[in-house]
Amino acid sequence: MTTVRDERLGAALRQLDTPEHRPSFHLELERLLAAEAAGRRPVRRPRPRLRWGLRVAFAAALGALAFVALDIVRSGDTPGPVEVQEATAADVKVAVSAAVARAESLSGTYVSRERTPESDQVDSTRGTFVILADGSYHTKDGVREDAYDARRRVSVFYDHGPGYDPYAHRARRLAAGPPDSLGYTDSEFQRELGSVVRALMAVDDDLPVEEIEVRGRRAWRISTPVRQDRLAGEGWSPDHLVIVVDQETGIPLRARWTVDGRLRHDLQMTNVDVNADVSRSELRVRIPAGTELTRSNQGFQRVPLDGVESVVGYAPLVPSWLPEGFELADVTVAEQGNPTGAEAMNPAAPGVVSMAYRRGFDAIFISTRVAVKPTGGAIWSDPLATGEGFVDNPEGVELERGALSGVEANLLIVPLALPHLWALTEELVVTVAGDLSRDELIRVAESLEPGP
Amino acid sequence: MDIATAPEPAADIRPAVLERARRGDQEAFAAVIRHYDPGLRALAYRLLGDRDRMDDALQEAYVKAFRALPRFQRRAKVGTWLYRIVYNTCLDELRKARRTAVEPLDENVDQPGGWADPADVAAGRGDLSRALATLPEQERAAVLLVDAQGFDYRDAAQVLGVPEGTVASRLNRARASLRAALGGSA
Repeated sequence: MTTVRDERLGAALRQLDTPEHRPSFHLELERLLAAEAAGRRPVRRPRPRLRWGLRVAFAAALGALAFVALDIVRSGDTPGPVEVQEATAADVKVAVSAAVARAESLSGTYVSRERTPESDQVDSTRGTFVILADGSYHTKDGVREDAYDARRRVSVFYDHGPGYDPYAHRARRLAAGPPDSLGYTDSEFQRELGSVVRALMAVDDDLPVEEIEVRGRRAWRISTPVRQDRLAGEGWSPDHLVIVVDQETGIPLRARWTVDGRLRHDLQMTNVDVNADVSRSELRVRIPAGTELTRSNQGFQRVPLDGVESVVGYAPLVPSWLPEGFELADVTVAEQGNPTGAEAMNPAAPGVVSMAYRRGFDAIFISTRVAVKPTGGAIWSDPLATGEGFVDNPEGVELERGALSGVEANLLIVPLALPHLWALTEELVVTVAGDLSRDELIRVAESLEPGP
Repeated sequence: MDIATAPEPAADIRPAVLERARRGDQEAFAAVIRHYDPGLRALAYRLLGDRDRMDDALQEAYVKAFRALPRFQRRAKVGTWLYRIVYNTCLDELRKARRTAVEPLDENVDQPGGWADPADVAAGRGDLSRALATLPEQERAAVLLVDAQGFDYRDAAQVLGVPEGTVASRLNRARASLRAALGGSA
C-alpha cells in the first residue's frame, strides 16, 4: 500500500515543542536497568541431571534412523522433476513428522538467502549447525557463533564481525522452555527450520507431491500457496512456498518462499548428517582472550517434581495424558520470572514453573506462573504471542476437563510461533506449547491436574 | 512556514550494538535508546500530554524493552518494535488514568492531553496542539507516526497493531480534524 503523507501537516506537527526529559531521567533509568541486570547476576551453577529439549520442529518416528550422510545440492542446483508419483502431502507429513523421532543429532551446513522488497537486495548467510536431541545446539556463520548446552543450561553467544570490538555473552540458569527461555535456547536457524516444518504440516493432505531427484537421492517436492500476513506490507509476506524433503530420512532440505514469483527467502541445508556421533565439545564457543564478556543469570533452578511446591507455593499442574513416547525431561522453577508476551507486556510474575517433556527432537513445554494483576488497566496477554508487529488471532477454546475445566483458553497455531494454548485462571497463567496438533494441545491442557 | 519533507525515521541501529544490547549489555542498550529517544519522546508526550507522565511511561517502556530484547527475533525493525512498546505503555498509562480520577494541579490539563504549551500558543501553534489533543489516541498516533515522523504505512501498522488500511483510514480522519482546526492552513 503506497504511503501518502500530508507534508504540510507533518511540518506543522514537527514544529510543536517536545520537552526534554526531566534532569534526573537518565540517572533514574540507569538505576532501573541496573536493578534489572542485577536480578540476573551469576550464581553457582547447579549440578545438571535431567535433560530437556527445545522447539526443534521436527517430529519423530520413521523408525530407527541409521547414520546417513547426505551430499545435497546447493543454491543453483535446482532439482528437476523426474516423475510424478501418487504420493500426497499426507505421506510427506507422515515421513517428516516421523523423521527424526529417534535421531540423536543433526548437523551440516546451511545457506539462508533473503530478499528485502524495498531495496531488492538479497542477503546471504552461510553457516554450520549442530542440533542434539537434548535440545543443545551450535550454529556458526562468518561473524557469529551461538550455542546452547542443555545439560548445563548455559547459552553462549560470540559476535566478532568486522568494524566493531568482539563481544560475548554467557547466560545461565535458563528455564526448561518457552516462554521463559525464548531468545537463549533456540537459534535463528532452528526457528527458521521450525517454521518450515510447521508450514509443511499446515499443507492440505491431498496436495499432490512431485518426486524428484537431488544428486542421486530421491526427494519429494511440495509446492503450496501460503496465507499472507495482513500486517506485513506489500512484497514482504510470502504467498508461495516450495519445500524439498529427502525421502530416506524425512529431513526437509530446502524451503523457498516467494512473493509474486520472486524470491523472498530461501533456506537450504547441505552436507546433512543424521545421527552422526557429535562430541559435546562441538557445542563449545571458543572466545578469544580479551573479548568483552558479559554474563547473565535467568534465575531458574532444577528441582524434582515433588520439590516444586516448596519453591513456588503451589502444586505444579502435571499432564495425565501426553502423546505416546513423551517423557518428563526437565523441571525448573523460579521464584520470580521475567515478563512474557509480545514486547514483554505481561508482568514479571512470581512462582514460575517451567517443565519440558521430550520425545526425540519433539518437545512439549508446560509453564505456570502466578496471575498477578498487571499494572494500570492492562490485562494479561498471550505469553507466547508472535509479537514484533504480528497480530495473532487465537481460537477461543473452553476446556472441559481437569484443573482447567471451564476455563476459556486461547489456542494459536501459526508457522511463526510455537503452536500453543494459554489460559488465565484466577490463580495462574498456564501455557502448553509444542509441535502438536490442535486436538493434542487441547487434550494435554485438559489432562492437567495438580501433581505430582 | 517552511515545509520540510517528513524525515526518514531513525535508521536502524548497527546490528552489532543491537546484538550486544540483546545479550544484556546495558551500555549498548543505552546507545539503542539514545538513538530512538527523540522520536519516542515526541510520541509519548503527544499521547500523554505531560512531561512527568511522558518520562514515567518512557522509563517503564525502556525497562520493558530491556527485559524483552533477548527475545527480539528481528522480524521487525528494532525501531518499530520500540515504538510499539512505547505506544502500548502509553495506552496502558492512559487506561490507568481513566480508572483513577486525578484532580489536575496544572491549569493546562483541563484539555484532553492538556499540553498546550504557552510558547506554542504564542507562535500560533496552540490551535494545532489543542486539535491534536482532542483526537482519539489511535488517530493521534497514526498522524504523528506517518506525517510527523515519516513512517510508512507498513511500519506504522506494526507499531499500532492494525492493518495498513486501518492506518490509512485513521489518518484520513485525523487529517480532516486537524485541517479543520487549522482552517485549512496545514
